[in-house]
Amino acid sequence: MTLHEEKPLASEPRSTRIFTRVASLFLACAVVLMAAQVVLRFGFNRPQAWAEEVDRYLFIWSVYLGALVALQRGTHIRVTFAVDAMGPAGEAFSKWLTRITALGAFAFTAWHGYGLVLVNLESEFYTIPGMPQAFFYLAAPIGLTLMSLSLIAESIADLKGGH
Amino acid sequence: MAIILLFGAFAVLLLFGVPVAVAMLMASILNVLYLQAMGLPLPSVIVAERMLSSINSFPLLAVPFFIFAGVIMNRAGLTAQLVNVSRAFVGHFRGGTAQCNVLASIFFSGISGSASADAAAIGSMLIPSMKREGYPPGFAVGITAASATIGPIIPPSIVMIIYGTMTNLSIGALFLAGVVPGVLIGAALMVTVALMSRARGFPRLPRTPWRERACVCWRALPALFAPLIILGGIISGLYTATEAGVIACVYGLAVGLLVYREMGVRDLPTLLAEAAETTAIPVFILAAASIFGWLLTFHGFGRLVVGAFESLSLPPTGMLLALVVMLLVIGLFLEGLAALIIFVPVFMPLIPAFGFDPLHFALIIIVTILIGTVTPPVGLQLYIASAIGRTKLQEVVIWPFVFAMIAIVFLMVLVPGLTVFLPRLFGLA
Repeated sequence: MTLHEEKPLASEPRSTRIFTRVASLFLACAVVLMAAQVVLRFGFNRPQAWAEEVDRYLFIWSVYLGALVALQRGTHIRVTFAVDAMGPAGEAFSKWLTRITALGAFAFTAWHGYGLVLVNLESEFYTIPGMPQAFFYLAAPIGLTLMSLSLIAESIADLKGGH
Repeated sequence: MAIILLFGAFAVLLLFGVPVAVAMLMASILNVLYLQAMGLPLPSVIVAERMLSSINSFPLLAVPFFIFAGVIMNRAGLTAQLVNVSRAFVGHFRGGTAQCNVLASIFFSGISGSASADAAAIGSMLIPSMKREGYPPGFAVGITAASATIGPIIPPSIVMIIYGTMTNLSIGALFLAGVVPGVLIGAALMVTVALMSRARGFPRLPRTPWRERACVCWRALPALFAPLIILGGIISGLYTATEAGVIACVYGLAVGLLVYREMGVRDLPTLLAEAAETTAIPVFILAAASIFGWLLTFHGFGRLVVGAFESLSLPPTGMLLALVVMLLVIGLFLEGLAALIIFVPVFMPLIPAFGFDPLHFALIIIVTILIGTVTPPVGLQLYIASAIGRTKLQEVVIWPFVFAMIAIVFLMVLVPGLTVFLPRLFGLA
């Protein structure tokens, strides 16, 4: 299993820094919106129904982008006791197995995720008429597409650098 | 057959170091494709649908809020204050810094909902000092990992938020139900430390005079006060757990920026980044696991398990003990969150079948699974603590602490009041 590395953000590649900022921004918006909701409810007894729905969607975006960052930084939880016992060859095998498995799983889910977006193209937010629900449905396929692209880029860089 | 394929693919991928979320997702996709090949009209889009709808939940929003609050409070210097208080009160015991490690974890549990955060925060402060004082590194790592499990037992708790979201159980009630078991586990660990310290002659720190203790407590007041804000609102029904999470963030910011002044607004982007990533890791597992769990239900795995338990023809208490033993064995090999997400829906039918109290049942499952996070070969808290202590896994002294915690779980099984008393007292159960 991996530990949350205390590697400073500045030392990460540019794409990781950008996605980290965007994921953070979604989270920050979710926090501010919920804090505002609490103030409106207690201070003015006027909670806004839309705030909870928008907050949920902001959270989901933050999760998919955060998962992308964790993928790039290699911080997703994994079990390594067997791989460690196999030495460097085991580590290399595990790395490529992870990449191929993740690429297959993410691309498959992203593809069907876009299908889900198309099916729900006409849907609107429950609390905000006119706001397309695609904003919610796009979080998974876009996040997973970015993860797939990131895996491909990483593999190419590895192959070029390795030989 | 299909169940064996599902578990088999998951186990093989996991063994070869594929991340838990990816292994679950891939095993599920292969299973869906297999079922389609067998002629079942199962649409592939269900994978994408479950990956979204499973985390589209308002109570689940409490997860990022409490993680962010914990990150802020740690940066704000609250952890250091809590360690100071603990040291002032138990440092003069034999094995004082080890006792301080446990007590600080109990205090820290009130502001953090994650065992990993507890292991990292308390471990990075106390493992180096324990080593300097001459404790064996394996002991320092072991007590850090064991006491970190209190983090998600005493509220707030990420695990309880996820459990409540999955089972529609009140998160406030779960939070309250965790208070007594969390304190009991802390006490059991302190007794274990005391016995081991006496046998091994571990050092003690000089006794802190009462005047200084009062000073330390005064300085730590904002940190000691935080759990009251979080729990008080939930108990009184003033706000939900999700709202409590955001209130904890605001409180942490106020304390960090205005009281301790150890952080500035310029620290916020780093803290947000840490919170976003730390949230995404478990929630992404939850999303990937939801399709896995859906398939298990589809295959009727729950019925199989209930049938197997019924065939044991044990009384309800015996049934709970059998369940604890089974979960402990699972915990040896399966990562905690994955175990929770896979097995909680499977075990749910046992509650009506044997007339268990849902809260009592929940706490036993949660605490047992958390014990699984410190048992080798697969134990996240153990990995984190041994990485901080730069100690090999084989050297870590964990089993005495594990047995102490198991004793408390057995006590919880036998005395349901330990868990359900507080939620009932405050009308939440």
